[in-house]
Amino acid sequence: MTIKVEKEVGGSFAESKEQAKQVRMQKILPALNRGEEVILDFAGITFATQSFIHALIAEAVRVEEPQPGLDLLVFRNCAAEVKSIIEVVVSYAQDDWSDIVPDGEASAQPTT
Amino acid sequence: MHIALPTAARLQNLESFSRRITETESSALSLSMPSTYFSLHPVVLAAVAAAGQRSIDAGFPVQFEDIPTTPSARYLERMGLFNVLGVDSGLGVHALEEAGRFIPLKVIRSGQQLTKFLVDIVPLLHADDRRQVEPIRYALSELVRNTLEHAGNATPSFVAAQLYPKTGVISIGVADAGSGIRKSLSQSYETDSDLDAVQLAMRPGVTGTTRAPGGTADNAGAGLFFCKSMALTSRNHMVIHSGTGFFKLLRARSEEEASILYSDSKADRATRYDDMPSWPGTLVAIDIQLNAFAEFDMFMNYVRSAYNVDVRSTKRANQKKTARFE
Repeated sequence: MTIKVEKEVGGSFAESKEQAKQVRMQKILPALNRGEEVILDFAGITFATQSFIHALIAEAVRVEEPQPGLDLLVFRNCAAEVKSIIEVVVSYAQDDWSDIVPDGEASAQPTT
Repeated sequence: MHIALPTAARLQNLESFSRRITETESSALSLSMPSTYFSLHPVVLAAVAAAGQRSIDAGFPVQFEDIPTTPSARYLERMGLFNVLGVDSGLGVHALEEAGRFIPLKVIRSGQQLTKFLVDIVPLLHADDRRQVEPIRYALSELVRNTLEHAGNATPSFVAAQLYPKTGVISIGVADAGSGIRKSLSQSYETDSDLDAVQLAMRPGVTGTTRAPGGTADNAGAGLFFCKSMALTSRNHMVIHSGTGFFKLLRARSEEEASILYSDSKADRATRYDDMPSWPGTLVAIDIQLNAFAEFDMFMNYVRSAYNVDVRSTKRANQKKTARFE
């Protein structure tokens, strides 16, 4: 299945979580549940927010059955900015958030 | 509520505005302003508009002590403040006459209205380079969505912005007079104070809709963190005032300091108060340097590294799968 994101959001700036949720629920997750490859074509999308990309793919990345969701997702024609946001969401969506560091400990670990 | 506008309220001294809010038992808003020149961050206008809307909704017209015929008062007219408040200022200034520098006050009640607003503002910005427009739309989208979600009960958010072409800085303000961050988070988190709640809300993965760290399928709980990162890396301020909690991210003093992101906002170099006059909702203000985001993908790499600090992932970076790009 190929999903043209520009057509789904009706413009070049993808930020609507409502639209992202609709695509996720109606197209992406059903296809992954069938074990189908999902191609997300970002041609024409010049920018996307992290909130949009999260609502679009975070749950899909966490799908484990019948195949790992990330193995079935393909991101096509991504602008550099969009690609960088997808990489962030794909990365943290694989983290084990159930083991979050208690308050205070994180402050000793700056990142650069 | 009474608000006495100060003569100067930029982000470096926004306390001068917040301290001049007087909460009363009534939702009625009365407003006074200096008779001389004054300079206000757009968040002040957004705040007055939000408080004014609350007053009007409660059946109380907004009361002005006086509207001076000064350039500063005309700025308020241009930004649409009097129009939003249903007041005839008598100043006779046309809105938007300096398009390209202002995004006048806009009330936003839903995600759909926000999406339309983000399309409508592109001509107003008069920018030739889309790399300057997109970070503005990014910050506006994340901040307004955040206030809409925290406000509750379909409370509207008000947004305004001003661009300073010489410095390349845009000042953005968003405000609502809803239920505030602490109450919003209380669905899932217990906090000791409004300030604690504000700082918790800035932490990636925290959202009022679930106790589960990492957010939900619809909400990552990361919008404020990303915006804070934009302010820090472009060496500017960000302020959040909700209830009695007031958090002001201080401007990074060096490039090195600007490159260090903390996912826990308690580690940020910031000014914090938990005794501000209570704001019945949330004010969020940010200044960002547009040129800092010409290479937005590099900025996102900084953000990605900070995200990982707070989570003892069972998967180290080299164990994670990567997205497949074509």
